[in-house]
Amino acid sequence: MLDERRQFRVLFRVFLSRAVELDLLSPGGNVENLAIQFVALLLAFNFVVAYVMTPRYFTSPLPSAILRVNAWSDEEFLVSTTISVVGMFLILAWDNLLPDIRDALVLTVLPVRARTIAFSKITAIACAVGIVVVCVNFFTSFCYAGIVGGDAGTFGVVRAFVSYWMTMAFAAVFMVAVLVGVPGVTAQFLSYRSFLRVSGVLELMAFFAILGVYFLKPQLATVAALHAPQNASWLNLLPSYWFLGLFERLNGSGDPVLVRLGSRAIEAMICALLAGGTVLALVYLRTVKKIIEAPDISRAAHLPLGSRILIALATRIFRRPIDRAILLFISRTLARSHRHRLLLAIYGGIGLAVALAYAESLVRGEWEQKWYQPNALLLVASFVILFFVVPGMRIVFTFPHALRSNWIFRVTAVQHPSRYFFAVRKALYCLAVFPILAISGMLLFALWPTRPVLLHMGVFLLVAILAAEKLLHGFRKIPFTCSYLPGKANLNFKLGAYAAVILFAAHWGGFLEFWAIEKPSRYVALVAILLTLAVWARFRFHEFATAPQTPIQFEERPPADVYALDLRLDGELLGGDVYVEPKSRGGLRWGTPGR
Amino acid sequence: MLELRNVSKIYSGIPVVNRASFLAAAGEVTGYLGPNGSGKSTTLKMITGLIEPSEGEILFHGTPIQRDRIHYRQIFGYVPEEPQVYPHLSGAEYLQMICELRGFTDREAKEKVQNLLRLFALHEDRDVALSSYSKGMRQKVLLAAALLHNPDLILLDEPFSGLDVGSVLILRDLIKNLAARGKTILLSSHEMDTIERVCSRVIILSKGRVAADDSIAQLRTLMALASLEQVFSQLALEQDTESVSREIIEVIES
Repeated sequence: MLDERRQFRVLFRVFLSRAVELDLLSPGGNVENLAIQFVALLLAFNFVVAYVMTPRYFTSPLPSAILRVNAWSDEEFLVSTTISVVGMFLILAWDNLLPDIRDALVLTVLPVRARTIAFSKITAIACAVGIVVVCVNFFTSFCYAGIVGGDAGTFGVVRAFVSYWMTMAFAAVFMVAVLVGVPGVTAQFLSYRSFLRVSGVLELMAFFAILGVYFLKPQLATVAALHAPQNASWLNLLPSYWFLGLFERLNGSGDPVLVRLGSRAIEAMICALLAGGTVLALVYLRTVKKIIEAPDISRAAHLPLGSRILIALATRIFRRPIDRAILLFISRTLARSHRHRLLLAIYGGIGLAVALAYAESLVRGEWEQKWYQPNALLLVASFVILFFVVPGMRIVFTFPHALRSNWIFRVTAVQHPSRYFFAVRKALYCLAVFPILAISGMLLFALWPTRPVLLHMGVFLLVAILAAEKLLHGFRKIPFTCSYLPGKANLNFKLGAYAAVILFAAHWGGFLEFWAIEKPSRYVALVAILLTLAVWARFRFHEFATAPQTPIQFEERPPADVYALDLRLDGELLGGDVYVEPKSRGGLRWGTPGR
Repeated sequence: MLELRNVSKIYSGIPVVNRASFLAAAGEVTGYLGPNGSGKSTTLKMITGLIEPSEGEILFHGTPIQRDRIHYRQIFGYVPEEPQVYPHLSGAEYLQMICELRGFTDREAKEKVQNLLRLFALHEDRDVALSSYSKGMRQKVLLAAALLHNPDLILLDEPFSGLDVGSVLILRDLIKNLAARGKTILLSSHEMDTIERVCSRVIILSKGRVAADDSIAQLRTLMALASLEQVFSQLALEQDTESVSREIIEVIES
């Protein structure tokens, strides 16, 4: 006799522990640590928001009716943040939203009903999303209940509190239904293998869409903007305003625009829920079968065009086989590893969003400078992208991929480690620095006269060199091949602190450069300083890379309190080894390490 | 010639390999047998340099392998027990990368990879990700990767695992032919039949210690047993296989 409830409980636990990609954890890391870090981060964020945003309402001399209207923009911000955080969480859990090959092959051979699997998975996702929603609204829910319902006494506060949570819950349900529905519908029309490929693209698109909407949506939560006819289409498109309408409606607001937006929120949520539910049912009825029936191996008629272009470029650009090997290994891992792609997208996406916010503020006329004339804002925007993408890629390099396969790099390490370090540096330039320089250059050349762009590109190149060389100094690894300390989550929680420093540096760097470009003497001085620093950084990197005691690192180990006299560490190269030099043609010859 | 002198590997005070000493001669296939957990794979990893012995010395052609590890890495090929490969690379990409890491020119690498993929019957699937390969196909990729630089010392840890019958027969002949060309081959396997057909000598490991080191014929004669399987059971197995199987059935049926 099958005990479905027990099966449900067991599967619920499994799916809940897998709610976020376990790939984000290092081998040996534990999911509880990651969950606690995640919860603490969201709670801390919400506490800061509550601390910064709410005191002014309690100290303001303005009448409460005006304060309530003033609170619309904050409420919209909170709804928008909830939707975005839920969206980001679902993107982290992307591969676990629908049944995958593990579920299909492991669970379908067990005496477990499809509905038990489906319900336990849906409940696990709902539970995880619920935790996220609670954490991201915990403190603000109390504050805004007081602000919105304070006038009506206890009943008003309770009503506002309940409305707040209903609104956030509905917004989260809407987001879940949309983000489950999109890959679910795609899975109906594609083979499982094609779906896996498309799914990665959809995930990135969803990520950039969420980020783009969050940072770039117009601010319309004022009486004038909400009632302006030209904003009607924006309001119809942006879910955060629908749910603002719902919140106000639940609190008794009679504003016709908010009432209409509230109705739209309910309609949208019901539609998304119905569509998402139907898609999920179809997924469990059809897709699981499709996964099982998918051929084990699907032969590719020829190499994809992207791969062929990459190989051709690598062969033409790099003379040394090791440079080609490292560049191709890095680019293929970034292109094909879901986890690395996502982490890079997070860094790049944040940089892009901030850069777009600068550009948008310029276009909207918030600054005296004009976008079509040389200005500091676009210089700042280009620095922001550089400062997020290059360090982002360097950080992504440290996260391993298929760690147990790194033995092949150990047994084939027949060249001096400096060769590997120089190859990694070339790869960073090819994959991050030069593309950013090229794209920034093209955009600025299209907007501005040639001279200021050329002057900026000179400074930009030196800053990029300085950043790349500094970031790689001390990096003794082949990207993706070194272990990561157990228990350390791969989501870099130091990002907040770094981001503040980066934004500060980019902002003032951009304005400093603009100031320098205005006079040749200042520009020459700035370039001279940057050139000196860039040369110094390259020299330091070269010194580090060619040092005799610099082995390639494959193990990230904490220093032991008592260290055994194991004079040679397992599998590592120590100084004094004689390395070989690859010839341009033919086999290998003996040589000394060098550049 | 590969020589191990009193080699031990100790993890947390427990010797996984305990003072193992043996010779593997050039031009010979030396079988390396032992039950699960007896230290076979650990020995092979020590011979590759992936892990360091806690005690003892490993010599190839009379030179300690750590003296010139870079040269040593150029002259050995290794097939690990587990087919650990980068799953996001295709078979061709993986082999091409290894060629480039070993310093082959682009032309040499391409030629070698294409030929090896064709001969290992992987050419049609050369551009398919290794994650889609079957266990046997991955094993073939590992074999190609271990041999592509024409090594003098070949270390094979369960190389027949997952291979189909045809591939097993080819690999057996390949191993014998490589030995005939003067290569030193150390073959670890659980397949007694293959070991009997391919190896001239066997080393039997039990609980990390070398329990026997002789030619198969000599071992059979000395122990008055008909097959290598019986010799192995006598020397390395502590359990009565019949009674264990009966107990398993009892547990299943309880």
